[in-house]
Amino acid sequence: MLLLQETENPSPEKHEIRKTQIQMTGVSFTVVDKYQNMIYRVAVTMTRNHADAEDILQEVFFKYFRLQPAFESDSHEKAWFLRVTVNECRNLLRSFWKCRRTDTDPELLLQNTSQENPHDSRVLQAVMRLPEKYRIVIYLYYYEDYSIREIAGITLQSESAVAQQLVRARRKLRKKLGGEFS
Amino acid sequence: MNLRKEIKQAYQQIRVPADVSEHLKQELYQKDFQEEEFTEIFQTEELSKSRSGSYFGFIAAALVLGIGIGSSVWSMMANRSEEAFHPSSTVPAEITVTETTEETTAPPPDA
Repeated sequence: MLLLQETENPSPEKHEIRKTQIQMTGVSFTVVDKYQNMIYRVAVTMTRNHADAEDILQEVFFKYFRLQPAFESDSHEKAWFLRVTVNECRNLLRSFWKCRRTDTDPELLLQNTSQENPHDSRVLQAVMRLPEKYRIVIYLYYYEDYSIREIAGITLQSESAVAQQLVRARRKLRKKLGGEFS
Repeated sequence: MNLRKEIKQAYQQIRVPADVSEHLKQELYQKDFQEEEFTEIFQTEELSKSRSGSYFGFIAAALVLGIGIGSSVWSMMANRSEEAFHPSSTVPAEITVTETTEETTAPPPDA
């Protein structure tokens, strides 16, 4: 609270010091703008909870700026963010506190999102009703266009397991959506 | 309909709320990562120290177990003797057979 008040009205000297610190530590908000939606989507997909997704978003960026990892390419950087997010979500889902909490209903979960098209929200609800391991595979395969091998690398599973999850998830989705998709 | 296209469109709805994004940037702006880095280095050292301790423990346990097994095998080998394992070897080669009288009882006369 005190820190927030300080940020609202920072003294010019303090602001300059902080600016230098940020330059020194390399805090760049370009990365935040670039990956925040992706991390949030993965976190919402896995946790089915907006508050948890916000915590994970913060934790992932804290980790990024603390470790300052070096990447070979943009795809390497993206894969790092995805893997860290998946790990953070798994840690949260396995935690003592989370195990004793009930999941948010997918309909309530989507109330916060912008529902431009009711059909889209129906698809999203169907995805959110799938078990956790199927949801993340569906997201990475269909939304991020990753191959089965890449998904196996991100989720630390075998390729055959990912392929099997994808087949089952697709079958369940078709069942839920009435088989209207190819 | 194409499932990929539908899922892509559906997921476009999920975006970080503007206030959450702003709050995140504020938090990142305020956080002193250099200080945290030192804490992390310290923690890593602590962790590695405890890990190396467990390695030493494992090696010591394996060594003790090895010595125990080795000494028991050695003592077994040392106490091993032909007699112990082959009692028949104690029997002299030339066996003197003594005649034994077999007491036979006559069958009872038929009634």
